[in-house]
Amino acid sequence: MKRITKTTTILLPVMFITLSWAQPEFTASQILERVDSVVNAPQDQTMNMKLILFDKNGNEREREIVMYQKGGDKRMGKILAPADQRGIAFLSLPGGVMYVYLPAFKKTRRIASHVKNTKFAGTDFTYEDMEAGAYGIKYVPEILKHEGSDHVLKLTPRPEIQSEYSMLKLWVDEKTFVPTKIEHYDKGKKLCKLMTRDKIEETSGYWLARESEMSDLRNGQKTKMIIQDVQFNQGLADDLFTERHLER
Amino acid sequence: MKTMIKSTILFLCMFCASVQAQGRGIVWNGYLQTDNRVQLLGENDFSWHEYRLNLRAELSPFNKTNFHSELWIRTLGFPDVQNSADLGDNNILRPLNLDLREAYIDLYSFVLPNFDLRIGRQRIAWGTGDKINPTDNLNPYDLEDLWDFGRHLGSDGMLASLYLGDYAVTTAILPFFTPAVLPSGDWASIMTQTIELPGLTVRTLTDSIVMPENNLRGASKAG
Repeated sequence: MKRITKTTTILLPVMFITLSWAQPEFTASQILERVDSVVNAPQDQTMNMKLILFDKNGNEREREIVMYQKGGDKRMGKILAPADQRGIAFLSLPGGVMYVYLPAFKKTRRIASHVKNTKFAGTDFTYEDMEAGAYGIKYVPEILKHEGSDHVLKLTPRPEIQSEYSMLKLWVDEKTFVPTKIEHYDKGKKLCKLMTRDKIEETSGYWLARESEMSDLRNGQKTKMIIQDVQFNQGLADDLFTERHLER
Repeated sequence: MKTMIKSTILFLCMFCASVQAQGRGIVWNGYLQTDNRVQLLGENDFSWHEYRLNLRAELSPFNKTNFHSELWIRTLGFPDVQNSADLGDNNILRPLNLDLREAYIDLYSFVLPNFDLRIGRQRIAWGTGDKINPTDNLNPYDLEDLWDFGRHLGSDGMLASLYLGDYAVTTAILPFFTPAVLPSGDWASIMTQTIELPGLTVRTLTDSIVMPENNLRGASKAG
């Protein structure tokens, strides 16, 4: 009896250690699915954000923006400040449909796919960067490596998606499945933009990067996006994500 | 009809009083712009001299209601002193111009949930083009500064929009006709070319413009 107990005592820690090492192996698609489910977990969210634009000499300009999102495929952003840009707004709808409202012209325009590489309100985020939508719908994932505590994925745009990027490299925290870093490669497969996501914390049960920074490596400029205030699951109506509300 | 007009005026007065009474919650913004131009050829004449203070105010006094106004306060042009008496006239020395570009109230979901109404002086941009847009013809052109081609004046009127799914039916009623502004400054003569007839000399030329009647029959309607 004593012998059995001894054997069990030895075997159990060995089994425990073995099981700990044998973490579940995720496929690239499963990792991306988890990323999408974490990033788009809230039913809806309203975020007040500050955008700080740095030029290559370090000069700063600020924008204030309010962003509404419903699910993973509807998003609307409106600039609140500065005064000369107040009212500029974009609307991203399922199927890659995007609109921009320019108060100076009093017009809403649909953004064609080939001009989604235009910068939004002078920031280093293009309309494509601001677009809502799950990574899994837009990209084909492939595991590149495991670096520190991150999975590193290579995302290639699906053939039916028109993108300004030839591929993205996505660093994903293995525990939370929150993206921590994204490298953007241009059509010449050259690294052109780098996005880092910092101050990742859990707010009201949802993971959120409070600060993100997009650096344009081609011109030395960068834009920092700081979430100042966020509210989840307020029951935003579908009606909010229409051209009618874009102009208000 | 008279009663309706009276009611509208009364409503607008009440609204203005209400806005004044609120006093807070108004979002102000605007800009200051200076525009001075000099000709590179000839005597290097100054061709444009403008200081413009743009003031915009927005207020949502009630739920589903929004007030918007845009005012230009500016000095434009050069002192036009002809004699010593003019030196005492500040309007000649430093001509000040007030231009109420827009002043309207939006009533969202007015009567029907999918019906919006905008009343007041407003810019109604139709079509998709920016500068040369033949369909954008509800507001008169403001060609004062030809380098800012595409600028329009606001028109006093009513814009009603009925939203049906992804479509909208829009109707505009502009009771008062406002003529377009012709270029000034260097380009003043572009629309008034001299007339030359072979063998004849035009000594005097007068023209007259026939304006639409200032009544409801002469009002513009579009939908």
